[in-house]
Amino acid sequence: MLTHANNVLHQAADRLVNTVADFLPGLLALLVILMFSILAAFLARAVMRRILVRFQFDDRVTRWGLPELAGWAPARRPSTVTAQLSFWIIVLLGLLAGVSALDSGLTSVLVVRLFDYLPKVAAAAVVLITGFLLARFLARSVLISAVNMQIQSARLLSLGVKWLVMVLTSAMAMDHLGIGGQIAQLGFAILFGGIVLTLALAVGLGSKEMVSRSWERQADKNERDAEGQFHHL
Amino acid sequence: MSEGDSTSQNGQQNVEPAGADIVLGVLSYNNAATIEGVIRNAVHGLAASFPGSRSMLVHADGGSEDGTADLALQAAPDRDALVQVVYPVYPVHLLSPDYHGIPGKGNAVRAVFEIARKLEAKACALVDADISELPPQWPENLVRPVLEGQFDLVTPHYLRHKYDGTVINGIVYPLVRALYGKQLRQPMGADFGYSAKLIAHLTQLAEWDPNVTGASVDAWITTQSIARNFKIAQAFLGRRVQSPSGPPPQLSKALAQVLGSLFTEIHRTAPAWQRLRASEPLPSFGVDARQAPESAPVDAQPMIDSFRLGFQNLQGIWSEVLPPTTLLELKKIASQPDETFRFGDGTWARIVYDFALAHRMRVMDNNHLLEAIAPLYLGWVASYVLLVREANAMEVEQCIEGLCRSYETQKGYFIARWRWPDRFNP
Repeated sequence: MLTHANNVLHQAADRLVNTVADFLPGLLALLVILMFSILAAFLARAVMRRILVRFQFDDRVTRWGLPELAGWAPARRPSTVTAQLSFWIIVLLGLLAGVSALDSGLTSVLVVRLFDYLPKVAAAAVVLITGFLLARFLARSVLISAVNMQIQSARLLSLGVKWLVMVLTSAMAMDHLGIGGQIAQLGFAILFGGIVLTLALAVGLGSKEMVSRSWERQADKNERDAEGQFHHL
Repeated sequence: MSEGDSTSQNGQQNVEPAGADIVLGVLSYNNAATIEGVIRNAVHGLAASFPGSRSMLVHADGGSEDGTADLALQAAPDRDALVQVVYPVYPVHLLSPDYHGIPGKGNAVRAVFEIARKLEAKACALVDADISELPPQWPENLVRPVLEGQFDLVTPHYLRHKYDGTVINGIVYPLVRALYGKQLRQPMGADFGYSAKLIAHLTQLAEWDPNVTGASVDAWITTQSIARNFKIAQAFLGRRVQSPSGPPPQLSKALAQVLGSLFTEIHRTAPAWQRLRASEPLPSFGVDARQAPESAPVDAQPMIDSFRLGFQNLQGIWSEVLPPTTLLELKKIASQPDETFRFGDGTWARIVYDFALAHRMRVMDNNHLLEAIAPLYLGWVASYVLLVREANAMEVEQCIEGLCRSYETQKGYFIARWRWPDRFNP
């Protein structure tokens, strides 16, 4: 009985030692990969920062209006934020590569899934950035045109267009990421439909007279121009 | 068909080389109402003014759909002396109508120039067919300085009432005068005279790009002529009563076309204008009547309102173009009472220069930039209207002269910003 118990304990201890012995090289590999990836991340951050400074990234981003567009005013400069982002992406990739070196079934599946998901994240980021730039462009177009057409609520119109495009873009990005599933699409459809219906009701019923007065004013203005009282050119 | 290609008919005949001393080009697009009178008066004017010269009338039409081409052919007394060309107009030219009513005007000008070159004409004049009555002396006024005065470019000087042509008086004339040193009253217009030398130079240039073939051909030719030291004169033509074939384009769009073409040429010819400091008057021909036509009173209030609306809504955009001091000036201007509303000449000149620089630096989409100046322009026009309300022709001239001097004074500011834009970043 004692011998049997001793054997079992020995076997358990052997299994534990074997398991630890199997695991240790993987762990060592994880640590080595992580260390190298951190070193690579530091290097990448420094190089990225230099490149961004050389290409006046901060000025360009401010000119593109990305911080204003996203309602994001970081305490640090955009070049610092981007360089830091590249640092953490490399560290994360190193961590994933290191975890896969552990060669456990669970971690392998996790890593494969994460790597499968990355293209979707990239696509969603592209959709978001494109959408935000488009929102800014359209908002400006509407604002300038509305001001030149003497529309008093020009800013409101511009804001409406900006948020409409941004909501549409966000819905598309979430769809790409598979977040929310049908809820995001349904939510957007309800929101968009609601806005259109509200506008239709507002213009059709509430502001019918205002719209007609506006058209009359425009017609009067055209007539005055046609009479040749004032030629700008 | 490539850019600038055109099909020509000479009362259904081909153009013979070495066939004319003078070429008079008439540019049209849906001008059925005026084309007959323009052709008749042009033929009559050429015959009366240059009886011993061989003259050829070239009618360049952009594919009018109202029978303009047929009417022109019927109006010509001698069909052998009329060449009709159909120049290419592309959808892009029709999508955004040009402020002068001739879509793809650059292609029309080029088509006439090519014919003038083939005919080895000594002088060429161009007139737009949207004029209700072409005075018969205009061809002479535009052509004689070329033939007898050896000038290469003859620009028009129209008689206009004090509220007419505020874009020309408030931006184009002072800007061209300050930058290029020539006191050209109408750098962009509808009627010009050209020498064979200038035509030979222009037709060989590879710059007939989409910018030039659109609305900006006038600005391009004028600035090219100045930058290349061609001899320039201006001709007093009297009143030009327009009879446009379509509704005028929206002010902001027209302003964007004019300023866009001007700013592009300023960029292209930067080495030339940075060397010049003062401006000089140009030789003028024709009779300067100096009796500006009576003008109906103009209400400045809607323009002041437009400026204030722009100030409320477009400050974010303007702040990317204008320095803080100018924004502060605008704030003061916007808060003035209506009766004493004034827009300083120096402030206005700096604003135009700042927009020219922003166009070069591409701080934002160029259409946005050029349309965002419209409320500022209306603010200046309102101030000008209030200033010259009781003024006679002489006083109006003094007012415009003062504005031109402000542009000339502020040229140093523009050159400094042009050379070191980062140092002055708003």
